[in-house]
Amino acid sequence: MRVYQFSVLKMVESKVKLHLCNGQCFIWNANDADVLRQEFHCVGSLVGCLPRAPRQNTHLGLPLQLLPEETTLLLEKGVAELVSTADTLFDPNEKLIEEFKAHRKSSYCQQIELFRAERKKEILQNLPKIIEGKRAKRQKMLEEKHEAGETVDKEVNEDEEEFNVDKITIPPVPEHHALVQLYTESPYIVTGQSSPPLWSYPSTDQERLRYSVFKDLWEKGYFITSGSKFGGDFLVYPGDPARYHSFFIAICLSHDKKISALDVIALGRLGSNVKKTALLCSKDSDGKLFYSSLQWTGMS
Amino acid sequence: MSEKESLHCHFLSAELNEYGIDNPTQMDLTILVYLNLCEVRGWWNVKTHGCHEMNIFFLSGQSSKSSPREIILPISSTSSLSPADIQQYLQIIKVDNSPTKGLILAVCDTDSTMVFYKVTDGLVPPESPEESEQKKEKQSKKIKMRRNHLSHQTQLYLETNWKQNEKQSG
Repeated sequence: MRVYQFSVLKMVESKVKLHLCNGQCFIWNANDADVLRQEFHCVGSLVGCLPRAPRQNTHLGLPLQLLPEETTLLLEKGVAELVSTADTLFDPNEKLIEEFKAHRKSSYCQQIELFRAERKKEILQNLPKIIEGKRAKRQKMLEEKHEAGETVDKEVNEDEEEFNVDKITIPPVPEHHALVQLYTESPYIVTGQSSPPLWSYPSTDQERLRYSVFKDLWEKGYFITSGSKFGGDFLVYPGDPARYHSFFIAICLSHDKKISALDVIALGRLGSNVKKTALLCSKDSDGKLFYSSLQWTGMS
Repeated sequence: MSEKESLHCHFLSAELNEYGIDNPTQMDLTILVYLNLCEVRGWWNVKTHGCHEMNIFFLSGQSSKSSPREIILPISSTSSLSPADIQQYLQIIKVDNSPTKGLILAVCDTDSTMVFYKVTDGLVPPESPEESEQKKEKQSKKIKMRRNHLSHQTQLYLETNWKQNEKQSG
């Protein structure tokens, strides 16, 4: 809960943190990932292992890996900032260690009462069973005494059967049983420890073409993901990929790049087989973008 | 007479020659596509055109009497084309008095295999599932009608034959 509030504040105050690692950008904050998807239709792809379901890879969790085009766009729009591994993966100093210990301690102290309340609830739920058990136990004891020839008072004081939960002393949860929060995004980010990381995408002609196409389609309101699944550069969705199938397989080609007629057939065929339009994207020397939609006519 | 020679005897050959476009390979392809559209697919009002600017022939026609006129550009499967070429085709090739959106590339192989792909300028979303369902239904209706028609014709033929036989024997 605390972490959530912290993130909301952070969203208002500062930029989305893109963690640059091995030339790829990752988002570790769930709220940031959500905001980017909702507000900036940047989808990215989840690449992290789910802690509760580690032995599978059909459902993945944070971090969210961004396309290089998405990173460039977000940096350009001023919504995000790069964070290098030096800012997150460093040896903690004395002060940080103290802070960490204090936090862990306060977290444990809060948990004592919470655990107590939980335990009380559990006892209340099982109250009929507990009373039943106690009664049976006493009954057995009485019978044993009776067999041993002792005189026993069969009249039981009803008060004895009353069972007051509030009077039970519940011991505090031991510290080694306390819950420990494992952070997804590091709460100890200290920026500016080293020179800010460099982001040089796009740097080649093909990358510049890809970025222009990405940006243009993005500005048209489309959602864009990587097109490698279908052998293209991008997959273009009319809305959130969770709700729509993609409309286009975008293939970025330089304006004068000759492709054989057979390749044209292959692209068109691929598109028709998966009910999408193959989209040839190119940019002329004046920087104007051209799109050619390739579709099968249904004539065979 | 070889296939090529026979192609050149076709009246279309003379018609295409009159355009004064020097592109013999594409001219042959144009004749092949023309024949395919007229004889195999039963297109309507198929016409030939020439584009001097790009030194190519192309065709236009309607897939059925009521459908809009479309432009067909025959190209060889061994040819290659760039996005710039495609855009140039889209911008320059036009048939007068009938606005057409995009054109159909007829890619022809030497074994007379022909495939038709539509290229359009801009972003054209794929058919919606409803549309393709409708198309499928229409197609199956057509096939059914054709089959019924055929069996009806056979029946008619058999009946008249039988009647004639009866007359002769009677």
